[in-house]
Amino acid sequence: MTNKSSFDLNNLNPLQLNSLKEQISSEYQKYRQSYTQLLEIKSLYSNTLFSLESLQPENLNQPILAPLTESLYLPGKLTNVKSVLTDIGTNFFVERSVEDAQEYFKRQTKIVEEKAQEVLKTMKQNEESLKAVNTVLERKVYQQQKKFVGQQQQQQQQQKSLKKIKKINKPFKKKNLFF
Amino acid sequence: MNTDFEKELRQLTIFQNEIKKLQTGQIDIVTKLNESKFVLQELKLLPKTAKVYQLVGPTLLEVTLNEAKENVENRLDLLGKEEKKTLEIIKETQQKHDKKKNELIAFQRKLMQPKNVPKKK
Repeated sequence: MTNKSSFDLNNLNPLQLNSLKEQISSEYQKYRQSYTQLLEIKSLYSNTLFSLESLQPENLNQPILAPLTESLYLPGKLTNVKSVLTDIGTNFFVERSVEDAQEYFKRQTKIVEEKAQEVLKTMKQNEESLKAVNTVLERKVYQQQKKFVGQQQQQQQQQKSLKKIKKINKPFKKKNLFF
Repeated sequence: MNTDFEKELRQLTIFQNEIKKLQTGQIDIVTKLNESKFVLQELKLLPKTAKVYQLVGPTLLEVTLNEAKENVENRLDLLGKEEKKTLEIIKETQQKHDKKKNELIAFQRKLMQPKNVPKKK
């Protein structure tokens, strides 16, 4: 995605550097979003693991409140402490034992963690490239300002010297008349 | 001349928007593809005695492990084909877009030239 390595930052003018900066920061936002999403999924998995722990054989026939809707619960008894249905994606569910389900979720958390670490890496790279672009941009803007100030000073000096020349030229005309 | 230039410019922006749409569609396809690959991986890890259910609308139906694997593999095939198609279409529109861009640049140069010629005289 980053083409920065193929050309030198110094060859770009401030406008191009600015647009590059915006591009990099929008990429950074996207990476940040996916990172937070992955962290959410990870906490979801840890919650499921926690609730799986309560599915122990000693909890058989314990009273539970089963959700019917988001605000409606039914009292009932825990009859199945052996198998659970795990959602593996694309509308597929697998019936597993409680231990297998726990293993499954531990595996999933590992995978999600690895992905989150990858995203974090790319985020850091992104930050570094953003810093580099910023430093080059600042330097160029400073150079431009210096140039501008220098040009202004030159113009002022030129104007002053012009005024002096005008003053000197006027009396010369009068002297020529005498000669 | 200017209205022609504007027309060509509009075409260019149309191409750009098309490419953007196709790219977002491509991202969707790729995520679905990855999800299905993941599901297939999980199904392969299961022992043959495992029970698999598929959510079809509001109903949960029991399917055999082989059926489920076939289902997911078919889905993977279809998604792969779709991905290739959209990649080709993106390439084509990108080529058209680049062509238009070059035409516009040449057009711009033509517009600039008549102003320069009298100065040279």
